[in-house]
Amino acid sequence: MIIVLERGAKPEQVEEVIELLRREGVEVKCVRAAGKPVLHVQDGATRRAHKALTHDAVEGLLATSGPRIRREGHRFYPYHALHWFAIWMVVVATLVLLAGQLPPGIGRAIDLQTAPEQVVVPWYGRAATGFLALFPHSASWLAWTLMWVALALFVALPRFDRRRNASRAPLLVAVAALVAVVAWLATGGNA
Amino acid sequence: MAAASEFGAFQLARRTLRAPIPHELRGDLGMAVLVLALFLLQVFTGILLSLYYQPSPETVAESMQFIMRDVSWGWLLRGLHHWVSTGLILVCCAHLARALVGARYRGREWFWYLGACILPLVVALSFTGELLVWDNQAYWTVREFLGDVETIPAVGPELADIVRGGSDVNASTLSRVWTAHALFAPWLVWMLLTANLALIVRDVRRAWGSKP
Repeated sequence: MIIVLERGAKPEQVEEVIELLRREGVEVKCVRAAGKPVLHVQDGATRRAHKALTHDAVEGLLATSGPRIRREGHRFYPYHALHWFAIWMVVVATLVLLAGQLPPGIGRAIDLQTAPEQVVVPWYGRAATGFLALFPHSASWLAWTLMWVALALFVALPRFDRRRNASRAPLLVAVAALVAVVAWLATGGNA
Repeated sequence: MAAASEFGAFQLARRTLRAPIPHELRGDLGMAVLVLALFLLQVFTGILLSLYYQPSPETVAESMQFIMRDVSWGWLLRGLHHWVSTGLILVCCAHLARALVGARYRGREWFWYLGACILPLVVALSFTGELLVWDNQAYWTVREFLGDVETIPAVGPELADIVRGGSDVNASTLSRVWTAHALFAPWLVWMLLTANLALIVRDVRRAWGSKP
């Protein structure tokens, strides 16, 4: 709960409101926002803060939680914006740390005659190459066909599963099986 | 200030920033913004790298050495570009996994279709980026990859020829990989990410409009 005071509220009026709230068992912290003194409820029952409306210097109350907020959700700014900005900063800091500690290198110059001992496939391509390796070269067309069909079914999932309130249990089992197969292929389990 | 408050864009931005976000959509919106922010960081570092990178087989090694040794913070910039691409793939996977596990595609098909298109494009961006180093490992990776592509039924050989730009991996291949990485795929990803965000904002507005 935030209590917004009139723009020209004098310091003694602010003190009066703080004292009024203290008598009601509500502890507040005074800050300024958009040129207005604002009291942020720190402790106590917020419903008792409504008593502050009896003071002339109080412009209004701004709910930061409670049934209305629970029903409608918090505003994008500052609540969600700051929350996601903090997460973004952590993600970027981690990436900067990785870039600093594990920078990508540059390999040897191209040698058209000699292939490297092992051609390293990026991690995100290992499951696909692992799947292709399951089939002999003459049956690669079958591997590709199966992969394309699986991909098409995955993308078209909403066409098959339209039941809004249906149980998610079969879906979760299918996802777990898919993850296990992809992990097995990606880690070279078929080698 | 009064004149600025009359300005439509200012009002729109203010309304958008102050709009309440329904609880059921806050995760979707957050993930979409996170993906978009990482993508913009990728574009930023990519533009800076492209100032020094020269996509020609004769000069590519020299330009890579120049970026890593002579450009101020060039090694960090390249490292960041490399790791952000990994992070972007992981966040896209998490975004899609969240939609899959939570069955959030039910009733929101386009949201799912867009996510399913964005992920392979982001992977393609990362893969083409790895090839632009054009060292021995990258060269043989391209050869092996195109060898696999050739085995795709019906369209494989033609597709491999288009990527290769001829019968063998050469300067044309590098040029095409560069074009796909720097010019073609980023615009596609940008359009899809914007559409993804627009769909979420539409859902927020719908949810907001349906509140009593």
